[in-house]
Amino acid sequence: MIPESLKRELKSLLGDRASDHPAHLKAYSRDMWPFLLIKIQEGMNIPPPDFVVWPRTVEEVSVVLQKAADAGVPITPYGGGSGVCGGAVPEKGGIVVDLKLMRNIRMLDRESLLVEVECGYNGERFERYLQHRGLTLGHFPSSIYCSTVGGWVATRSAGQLSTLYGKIEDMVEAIEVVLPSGEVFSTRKKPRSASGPDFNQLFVGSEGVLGIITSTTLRLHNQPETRVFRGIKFKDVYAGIESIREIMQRGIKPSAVRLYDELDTLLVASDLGGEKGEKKEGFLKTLMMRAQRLALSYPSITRGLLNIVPGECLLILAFDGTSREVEWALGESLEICKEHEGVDQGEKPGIAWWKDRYKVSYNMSPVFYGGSFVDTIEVAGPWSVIPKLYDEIRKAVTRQAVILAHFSHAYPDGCSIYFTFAATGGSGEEKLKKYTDIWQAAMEACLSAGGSISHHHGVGRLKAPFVERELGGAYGILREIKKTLDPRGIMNPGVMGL
Amino acid sequence: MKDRFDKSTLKSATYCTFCPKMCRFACPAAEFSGDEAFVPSVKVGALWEYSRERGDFGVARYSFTGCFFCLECREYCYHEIDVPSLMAIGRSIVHAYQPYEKTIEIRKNIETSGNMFGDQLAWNDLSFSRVIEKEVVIFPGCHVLKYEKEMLEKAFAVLERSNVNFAGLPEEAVPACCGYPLHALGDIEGFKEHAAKVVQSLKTVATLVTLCPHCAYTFKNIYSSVGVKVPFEVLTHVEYLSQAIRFVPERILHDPFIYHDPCYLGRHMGLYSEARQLVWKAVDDVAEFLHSRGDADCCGAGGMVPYINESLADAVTEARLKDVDERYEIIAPCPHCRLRFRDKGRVALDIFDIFERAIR
Repeated sequence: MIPESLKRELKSLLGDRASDHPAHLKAYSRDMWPFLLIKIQEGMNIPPPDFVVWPRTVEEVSVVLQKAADAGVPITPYGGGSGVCGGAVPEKGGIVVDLKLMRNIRMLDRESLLVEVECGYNGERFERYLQHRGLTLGHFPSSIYCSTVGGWVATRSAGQLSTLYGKIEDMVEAIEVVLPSGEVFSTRKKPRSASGPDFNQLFVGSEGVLGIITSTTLRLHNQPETRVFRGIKFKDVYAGIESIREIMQRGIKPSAVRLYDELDTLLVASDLGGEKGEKKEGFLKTLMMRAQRLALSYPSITRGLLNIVPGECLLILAFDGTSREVEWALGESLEICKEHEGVDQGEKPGIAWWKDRYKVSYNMSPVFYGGSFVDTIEVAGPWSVIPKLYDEIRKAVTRQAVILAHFSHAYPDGCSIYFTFAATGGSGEEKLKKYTDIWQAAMEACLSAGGSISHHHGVGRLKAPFVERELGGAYGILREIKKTLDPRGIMNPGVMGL
Repeated sequence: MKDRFDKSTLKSATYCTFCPKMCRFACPAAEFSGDEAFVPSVKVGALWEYSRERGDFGVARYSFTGCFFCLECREYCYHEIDVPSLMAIGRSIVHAYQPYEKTIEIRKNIETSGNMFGDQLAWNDLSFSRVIEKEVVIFPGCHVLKYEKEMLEKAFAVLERSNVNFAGLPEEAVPACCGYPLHALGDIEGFKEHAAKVVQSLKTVATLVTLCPHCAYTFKNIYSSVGVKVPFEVLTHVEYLSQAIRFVPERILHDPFIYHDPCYLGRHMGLYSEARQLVWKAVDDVAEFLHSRGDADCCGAGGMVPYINESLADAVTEARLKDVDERYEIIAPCPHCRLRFRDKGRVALDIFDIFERAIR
């Protein structure tokens, strides 16, 4: 609980940018963690915060943290609230600090291709600001419409063109953080430094447990001269995986690499063009929409039925650069795919994917409307582990849910696998148990197979029980850093298990 | 309460509630206030709870103030959900239990004086000399009559010079207001009564030309949604000028102009190019906002928000103007937009203002 005196102080400091109105307490009780969406679906209680503030300046953030630390009141930093792991859920009450009014561009250095931006800037608006000036960050997470720059940094996010432009950690040149004591800490802008550990990276992915990120300096790119796309079909997912590995290890850098498995090709990629796809979409719409609950009630049988449908796997490649660069990269990549019996589908599937690249995020609603639930699991592993990781997680989840996957965010040494699962249940309690069981099974399978439990969604509350096994000895060090910076444990308590 | 949700409304409300807030950046209420309670999926979620008989009135009453009815959210909604229509249902719930304070006053004013301000708004004192045929009637709307009589005179001057058929009001007194404020504030019954009166008083009209896109949209779309048939053709002044006028300027204007897309003209009625083409007749250059056409942010006037959540309306207007150089004169063919911009110290003009300047 937050003392009334502290509420009064904050109202005095921030005016109507401090509130305990029921509409605010309800709105800030959740992010997009599907566990909580099930609760909403079933009319179950979600504990609200006690108070919400909207600071405009780093000084105001500092004062709020000082006062919260003095009173021992929990703080939950809040950006877009688009996270799917419960990282912005004020489970222990306290104060939610919404940072969306901190949205200034502090500096644009075109010579060095750097921008200093405040953390509350919306992702899509930020990218438009840059593109209007012939620039790009190259960061296109599927949450870009609803997430903030600060949220990207705090959760160590990745965008759809990350294979070329890198992940957010590659883009951060400097960072400004308000520590739990209220002290403002910032790193210096520099392309690289050998002067000790990189403190930017201590806070990138820290999910609000070590302080509040208030601004960051990011590395930019000039917009590419050209962007080309290609779709290639493979007879199975393993041929596609091998092709991606060879492309990456030959030194080719596509901007996007997305290989859909058989079921994902049927469900999602069938939207991307081709007569066959259109036919199958009709079948699947019938299956997944009209008989959704039935199909999801018996996931093993559904999977068995779907396996009868002859499968193909679609790979989407995109290349950014000069005409000469992309021509070379595309030619080389197609050669490699051909060696693995990949069949060139032309540019159409890739263009269609780019046009509708965020569409998948809109698919949650129909599933919840049908009384079921859906979530995604994004793991990563080295190439030597990828086939096993894919097989084991599917095997672990199939008993309780229909699961599909695509492979993306490729590196010379491995890639990410992005699973989507959908399931149903009777009562709210049953659904929540099934949801938790599915995650437990998937995470156990991931760790046993040698994968990483999160490629880019972060840990939050969802994966907190597994993070110690993921980090090993480093988790103890992280816990000690947390104790040093946040001795009263006010920052986002419970997130990452801290 | 459940009877307010037919199958289609329930589906839209459920889809919106469980969407990962994909239209957040496009919602001016959410984006420029930073307030999560105004994110479309959150405020629609507050409405959806009523379909489950567990709505929280305090939450709903506040959240429903945060919608400008601007429809920008739908530009980014694959399910094409009409949030303004859902919010109109929400505000009707608010009206049924504890109306917004301003609604009572506006209803009373409309009943007694025919407009939301409670003033005697007339235009007969204006000097216009030619009534050629009583076929085309100009409906200025309450905001033009209240704040922009000078612009109205300019409109007549331009029309007169263009040999246009136009007329004053029919002999029977016509309310200055189309009733939009009542509908937007959730007073559906009050709106319906007023709409019936307006239509009755305009029964001799063949074509009604509105100077306000809110009025045009209300006549064209909202009247029929409450069962009031509109027996005459309705055109915005942008449509009318595009179709009926051969405007020839005396000179081309070289002043720095920037064009703002009013929500009701653009997203609601799809009129983007028509207004621009008119402007281009009289100016040699007009700049565009970074967010324009379907992406144009609201000016802060829509949905009666200035009357039920003034600080939110101010935040949105300021955000719209933030990156616009003060040297620009803003062309906005909507009196609500112009009022918002002028309140923040900017010069805001209608197409008639531009045309009149070009023939002066």
